[in-house]
Amino acid sequence: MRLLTAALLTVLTVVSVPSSSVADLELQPGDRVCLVGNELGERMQHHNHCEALLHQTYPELQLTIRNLCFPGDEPYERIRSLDFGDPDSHLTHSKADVILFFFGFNESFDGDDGVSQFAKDMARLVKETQGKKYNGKSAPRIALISPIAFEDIGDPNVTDGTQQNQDLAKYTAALKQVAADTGVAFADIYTPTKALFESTDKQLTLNGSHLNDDGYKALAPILMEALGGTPAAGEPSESLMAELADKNFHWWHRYRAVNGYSIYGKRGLAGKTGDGKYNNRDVMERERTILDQMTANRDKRVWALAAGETVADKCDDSNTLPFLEVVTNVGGDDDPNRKRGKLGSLDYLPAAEQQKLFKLAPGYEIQLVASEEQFPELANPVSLNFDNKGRLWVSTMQSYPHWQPKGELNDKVIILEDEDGNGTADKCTVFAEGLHQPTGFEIGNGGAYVAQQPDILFLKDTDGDDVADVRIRKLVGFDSADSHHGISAFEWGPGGSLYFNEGTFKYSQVESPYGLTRMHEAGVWRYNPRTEHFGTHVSLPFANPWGHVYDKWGQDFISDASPGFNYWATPISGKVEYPAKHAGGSFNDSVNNFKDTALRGRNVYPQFIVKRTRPSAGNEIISSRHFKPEDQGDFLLCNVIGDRSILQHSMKEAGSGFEGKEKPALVFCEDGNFRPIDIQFAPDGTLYICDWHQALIGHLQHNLREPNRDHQHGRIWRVICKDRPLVKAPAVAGEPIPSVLDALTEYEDRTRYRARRELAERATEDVVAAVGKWTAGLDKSDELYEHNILEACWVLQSHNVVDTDLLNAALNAKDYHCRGAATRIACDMRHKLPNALELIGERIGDDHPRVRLEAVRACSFFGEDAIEVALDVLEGDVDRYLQYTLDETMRHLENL
Amino acid sequence: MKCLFFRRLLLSLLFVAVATPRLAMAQSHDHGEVERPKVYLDKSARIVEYQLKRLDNARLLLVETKTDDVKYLPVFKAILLRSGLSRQNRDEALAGLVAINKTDVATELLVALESLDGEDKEEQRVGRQLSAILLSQPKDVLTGRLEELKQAMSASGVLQSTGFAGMIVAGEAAEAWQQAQVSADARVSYLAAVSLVPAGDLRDSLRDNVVSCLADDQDVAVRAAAIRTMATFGVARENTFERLADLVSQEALRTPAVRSLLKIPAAQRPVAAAKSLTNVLVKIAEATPAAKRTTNEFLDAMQLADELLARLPADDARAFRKRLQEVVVRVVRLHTVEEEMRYDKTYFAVEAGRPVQVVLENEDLMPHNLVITKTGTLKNVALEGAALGTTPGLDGKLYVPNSSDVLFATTMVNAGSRELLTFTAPTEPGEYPYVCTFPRHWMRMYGVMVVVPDLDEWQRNPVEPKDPLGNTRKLVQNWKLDDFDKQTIKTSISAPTSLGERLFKEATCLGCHKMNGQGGAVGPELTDVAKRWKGDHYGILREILEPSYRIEPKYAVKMVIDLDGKPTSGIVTAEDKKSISLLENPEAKEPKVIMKDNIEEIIPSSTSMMPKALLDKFTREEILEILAYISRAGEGAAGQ
Repeated sequence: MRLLTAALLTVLTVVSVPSSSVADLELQPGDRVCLVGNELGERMQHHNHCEALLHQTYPELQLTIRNLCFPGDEPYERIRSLDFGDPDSHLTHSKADVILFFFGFNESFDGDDGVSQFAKDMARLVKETQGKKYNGKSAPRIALISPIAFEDIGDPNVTDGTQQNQDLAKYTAALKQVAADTGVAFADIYTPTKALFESTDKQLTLNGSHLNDDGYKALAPILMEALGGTPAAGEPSESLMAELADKNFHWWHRYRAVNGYSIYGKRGLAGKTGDGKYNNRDVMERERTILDQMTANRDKRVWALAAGETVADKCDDSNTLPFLEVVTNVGGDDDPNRKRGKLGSLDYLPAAEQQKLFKLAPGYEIQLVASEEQFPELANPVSLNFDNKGRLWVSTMQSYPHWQPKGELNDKVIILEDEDGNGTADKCTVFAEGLHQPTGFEIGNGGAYVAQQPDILFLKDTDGDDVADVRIRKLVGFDSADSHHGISAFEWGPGGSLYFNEGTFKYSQVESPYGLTRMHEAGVWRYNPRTEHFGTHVSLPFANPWGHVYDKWGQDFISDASPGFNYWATPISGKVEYPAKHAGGSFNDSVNNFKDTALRGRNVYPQFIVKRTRPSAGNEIISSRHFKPEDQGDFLLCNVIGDRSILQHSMKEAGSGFEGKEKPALVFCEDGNFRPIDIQFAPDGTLYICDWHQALIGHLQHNLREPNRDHQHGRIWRVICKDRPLVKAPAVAGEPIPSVLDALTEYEDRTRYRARRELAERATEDVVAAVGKWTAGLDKSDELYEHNILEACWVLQSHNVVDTDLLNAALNAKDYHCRGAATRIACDMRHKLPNALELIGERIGDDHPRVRLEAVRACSFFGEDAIEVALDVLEGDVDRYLQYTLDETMRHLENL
Repeated sequence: MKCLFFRRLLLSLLFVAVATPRLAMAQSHDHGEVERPKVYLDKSARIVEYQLKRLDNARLLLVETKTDDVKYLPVFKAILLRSGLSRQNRDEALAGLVAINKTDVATELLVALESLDGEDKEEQRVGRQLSAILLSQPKDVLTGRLEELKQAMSASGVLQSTGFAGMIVAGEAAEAWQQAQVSADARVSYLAAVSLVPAGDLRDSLRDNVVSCLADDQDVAVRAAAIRTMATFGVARENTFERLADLVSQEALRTPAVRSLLKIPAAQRPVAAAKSLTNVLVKIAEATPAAKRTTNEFLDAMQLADELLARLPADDARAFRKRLQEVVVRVVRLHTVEEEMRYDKTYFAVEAGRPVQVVLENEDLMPHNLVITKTGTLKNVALEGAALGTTPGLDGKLYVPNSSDVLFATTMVNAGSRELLTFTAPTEPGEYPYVCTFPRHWMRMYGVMVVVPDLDEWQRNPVEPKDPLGNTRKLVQNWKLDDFDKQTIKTSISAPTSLGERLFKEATCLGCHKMNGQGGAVGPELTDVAKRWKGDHYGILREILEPSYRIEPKYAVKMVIDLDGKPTSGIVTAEDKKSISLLENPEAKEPKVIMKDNIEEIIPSSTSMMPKALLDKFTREEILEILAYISRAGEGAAGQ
């Protein structure tokens, strides 16, 4: 301190605010600066420009920066998984001297109604923070950072931000007033970013509301100037940028540690080691301490680099604590898996030996597609998909359940190709590596969406080598409480929205250009990449909904793994608003805790299959001419412990809903290490199985660092039907639009799925024109005619387009399946249909209960006026599903 | 959204709590529109019934009703049959049905009773309430319905019991008893009917019939029903005690026997029978496995044992208590009394430093809690609790202040629920008041936990604790308007006396009302009340006994919800363009002024701030004295 000149003591002075004066923010040598608030701040640890500029400008201050932001955080609403720790505990851990608050974006969606509450909350937050001594000595110095402006990205499908900017300006003004009233610093970055967006051609945001890397680069000097500093000239060095990335990488894995529920949460107490010495919490908190130490080691290197010094190539982490030694409990007296017969064998069989242990339904055979023996990259495969070229993609999680500090972080998405067409893979390309727990993924928009909690990445190859060279944190703010409850079961809906599922314990907050969505304790998310709308599809207290599949008429089915429950999704996909969730699900009573006893119990919402065994994973519907005619439409379900099978169920329509009945299993394997986790039909009509292939299953029963957790094995199998020819699926990738449209008349659900996905990537103008021609040329006497026009409606929907004539034809089709699906489209496209509620009202009295149910469900997305519309369904017969849907719709609308 | 969600929650909580008000006409303030539930009464009956079923009690009562259109019938019907509503609500709904259908009360009640399926506990309770309304009709109404009542005797459920009871009240008791011989089921119905017959000589005259149903050769169900009915007679209670005490050792009859025995006043429990029964109960306690010691049935038995110990010589009691203490924690059960705003006990004793379990059984229609306080702090604790509004207090409990004066507290216990409060009694002997801290309940709803060094010693010679609020009167009776005869009331009122004036003051009327220039301004001035009522004494008495029966709008409690969702309720003492002034309770020194800009909603109710049962601690003669004073006091003033 005494070495410093007076000038250095008050390095940053704050902008002069014309109307009211605000105090200066001081940065002092050695300050520990914490960022608190929403996604604007959160992304700063992944785009390190602001931090780099700060160090570059003030190297002598040797600042320690810790990012504590979470997407969606508001001053007094920051939802977290159990026992994450309150904001004070984290600020105390980081010994904050200075706090930068990033609030105002999410709040601004409340418009004029919310601004005074926001100001009140901020003033309270500042005053309360001023009463704290996180560093043990003095109250933190505070700066309020305004939201950035909204960028018009020129996409007609995405909001241009006019309304948002009006509101953001008001919230910025409110923040400024709070800063003036409370004597803290304030940075207006709204005004300069608005000017920047208007004057720059380059797109600086991902979606209008959230900055991309270029945006953060542009923001760095703006933020510093807004705080009164003078940015150093010149770009930060690459080595400084790299060091900051490494520092923040280690901090990220500490603060946003995956498996939080098994560290600080309840299951921290599980995972007793074989010698009884440690539990999960002991072992993993030690690792978090090591990460703290590693982060601190990198702070010093950052300071050296910023001061123009050189550092050793590799960071010296020899000063960190040792890991705790985990003694196995596998097979011991305390091994609950052994007691329950869940344990496979630690003597892993070669794939050829394993193959002999399969038992299949009559007429079917199993073949090995790929194993770790040939492709070591296949270790721990967790989900599979086929791209539009028909190639198999697999995500793998070698590091499961949790990357260990100092180790290699190298989970992958790989492409397995069968170049000679004999059914076995002979080429493996690593599309993406350096991932962490990619629990699920889906192909689309020229790349792949990959879950890597707490984010969903968008990865894309732009130079044709099948290796991703673009990596964007596309959707962020999901909880990281448990790596085996992570985002999975990706599925494109027929209308072009992407759906993915999240398990229990999770408290997620996801920002979008249209506002914030929160969901807690499991559900299905819905993301429309065309419009950037984001929200919940199903919010029900599931345990772990790891299966999601659509049938040919757009009805979807969800499999909840842990309890082994299976649900028809339509009645539970009506609108609910956080914190409300639909009634039912295995955690209904603990999560919803309804006062009304009629809403209590796990069976309030019925399952369509009588559960016999558990737990399950992925699901699929048989739609393949390669499979036997009598099996078509059957519901397949992966079972990973109880039966280690692909279970098969016949499906019957009953009233508004469905009834499934178990048939003998399609596939069973006597090898206890067979863990079928995901299944999907390939373009040739065979069924592919992703075999996680592990002796140990379950997250809970062994320590996260149990040495016998396998990090090597993994197999892909496929089921073929003897004596039946393979399906010749039409090519869709890169084909002319009219031929891709023709593929929509194919029998196989997955062929049409890939065709729709292909069409969604083409130019809207071309697709709309081609659809018009295609539908005009359809044969009305064709028994597929109504399904064909429905497919056309879906293709248009995926382009955010609605053809009212076509939709009307579908709404008034002879086949109730078509009317039901069209009702769903009318609901989804209501932003383009001024008479949507009227159209839906016409289907309330439909002859078929399915259509009536879709109409009642749709009412939940409208205002209170829809109550009157929905009630009329009581003029007809109401079965259990319909009654549930009406009750849930009313519960939502009555509370508006 | 979040805010709205919270407000809904809050409203339903408050409404349930404020004695299920029937809300009056909508306010016309800018911020004060009553948000009535939108029910599509013009749609088909199925839709209307569905919508009404979805409304909680408070919202159901908010639905608009009129008597000029059949479309309102489902609303009246829903109110009539909804559980948890007051007699007043049902009377109004009944009147609505009668007006629209142009029928009479008996017809509507018989139709309503027929629609109850009798299985559901809540429905049975509603059924008994409807039955009581029917049986309180003048005798000639019932005699005019003999055919229907006879038919009802062959029905089932509450309707059947109502048939029997109606026949009895209509003077056809013999035929009813004869019909009861048809089957065991009929006998059970008959026995239930006896307790529906208004208390008094007529009911007591049926005791022999009921005693005959206790016999060994009767069905167990019949015997159990007879046991329950035995507790409802006002005569020969010692004999009832002895008979029922003998049945406790029979497991199948134990629970009804224990429950009926609990209803017999302590003084009417003969010591010898009490001693042998205690012995039986202690043996039961010793034989009951630990896992079954928290059932309601077991708690009832232990409460009875505990009460009986007080009747026994101290040495005997001590020996029994020692045995009990080895197996169970002592249980004290406290009930709330339906629609009387009081606990069933004004005091209970516990032994210093000993563990005890207090069970609060809320049998009222609104939520109550139980807060045990330090000596001398009852009123403060209650006022601090009420001041919390909906901000959670101690340990997140509503209306329990964060105060060291609070020793132990339950949460708000909903109607029909119970909560166990387990604690170790203070080591310092003394009188510790307990109270319900829900706003304005404390004035009536309190008692004293007496902590004594030796419970058996104390019980041999119990000393009633001092009233913690200084009230010296004891409960006489929960007076109902029906207890006074409309025709003769005038003649039984004497000239006003100084006694009347003293009693008037004792009844705390001046706390709220002005009389001859003295008193508060919370309620209407009483000086000219007789003139206003044109000498209708019965009408004035109704105003006192049923304060909410008919209320001048300006004295009705209004609830104001501010923008933060915080409610304030009270009567409006002033109102201008910008603000509204609410007097929250009679003790409040100043009205609370709320700026209209801060008001989200003003919700009027037809509930009076005046507590019910203000005269329950006065005898009939004293009440007539008070009435005489009120009726004539103004004359003196006018003459001055």
